[in-house]
Amino acid sequence: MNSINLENSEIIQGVFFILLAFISMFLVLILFFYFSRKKIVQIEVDKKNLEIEHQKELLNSVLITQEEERKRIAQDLHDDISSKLNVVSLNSHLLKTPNLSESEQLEITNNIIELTQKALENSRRIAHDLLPPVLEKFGLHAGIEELVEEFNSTKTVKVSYENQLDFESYPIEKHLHIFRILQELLNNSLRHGKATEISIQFTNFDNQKTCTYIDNGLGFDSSSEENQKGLGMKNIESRINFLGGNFNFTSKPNEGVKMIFNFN
Amino acid sequence: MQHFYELFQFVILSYFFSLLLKTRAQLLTVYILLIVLPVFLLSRYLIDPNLFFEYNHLEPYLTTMPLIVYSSMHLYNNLGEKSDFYYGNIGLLFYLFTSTFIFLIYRLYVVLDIDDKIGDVMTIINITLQYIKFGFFFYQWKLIYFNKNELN
Repeated sequence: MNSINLENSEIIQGVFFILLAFISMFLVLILFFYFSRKKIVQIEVDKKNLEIEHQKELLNSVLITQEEERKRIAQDLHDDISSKLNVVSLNSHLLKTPNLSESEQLEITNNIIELTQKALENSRRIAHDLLPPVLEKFGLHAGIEELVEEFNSTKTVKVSYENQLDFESYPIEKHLHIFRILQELLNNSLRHGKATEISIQFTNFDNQKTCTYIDNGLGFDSSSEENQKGLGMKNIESRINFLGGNFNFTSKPNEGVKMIFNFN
Repeated sequence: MQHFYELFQFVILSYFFSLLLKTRAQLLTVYILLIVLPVFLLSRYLIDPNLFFEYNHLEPYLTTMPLIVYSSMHLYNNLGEKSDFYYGNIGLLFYLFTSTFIFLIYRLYVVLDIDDKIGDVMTIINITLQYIKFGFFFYQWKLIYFNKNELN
């Protein structure tokens, strides 16, 4: 009787522990899924926040560039035009002084003519810098050709340009973005990279308009975070974002710069 | 012998997880259980030495459940990122889950004393599960070993 009782109690114990094990493992599983879900949602939220932060940074850099551009234009206007017009106005007042000899009069008028011509030239140059007329009149291809020619004429750098794309069917408002990207890249290559050879290629790669830009300049460590935060790069990135494209930028010290971006 | 095996497994694996787990609360749980559980189990035997020679369910339950919890904690810690000992941990968790049931059911089977064949089947299942676990361990070892080689 006793041994049967003992056996029975052991069976009950066994069943009890199997049940207990079931319940506890079930609990572990439920808790695991509950916390995992929470964590995954948190990770998603963090990712989105990071994206928003990045967008904000881009927007900020656009604003900063805009301000800098304004500052530059203001400086150009002040230095190149206002100062000249000032002298012109002074000279004009001089003309009003009585008893001027003919030679003096001639000198002053010549001065005025020369200065107004310079002011005119400067204003044309400023306007040209802001928006090259070629770009508007003859499209991106001609615009880039002119840009390349300008750089080539400095003799310090040799820029080669190849184009297999037809830009005429491409929306005109996007031409300026591509032009500015190239302008920024060329300026960087020359100013920071001290490059002597630059190649720009437009190709149709996998049905996507692709631009490949390579220079042989000093380059920099593109993997370091500091170098990715430059205003110029941010600008290029936001322009490529506008174009709905992707970009890939690689550079190593003393190995030049290679940038590939596509656009739609 | 079984008592020692279970306690040994618990202590070693608790130490292993104490190295892997990160947050304070998790580590505290591991350390507290690492002290409290062995003390509790040993004191039981000191109070009633007869218990040592009997089978009891409480011991395997108490020594494996915390390990399952630690293992899940480690999985949770590394959600969405690269994890240390990921495959080893999966193999361990899998084996702890299944073997607990196998042992509990096997004990019931011994007490009930039914059909001989089921016992053999359960032994085979246990061996297969061990192999699966070691398969995971082996894969983990391979990953670690070859990664080390790459670094050198």
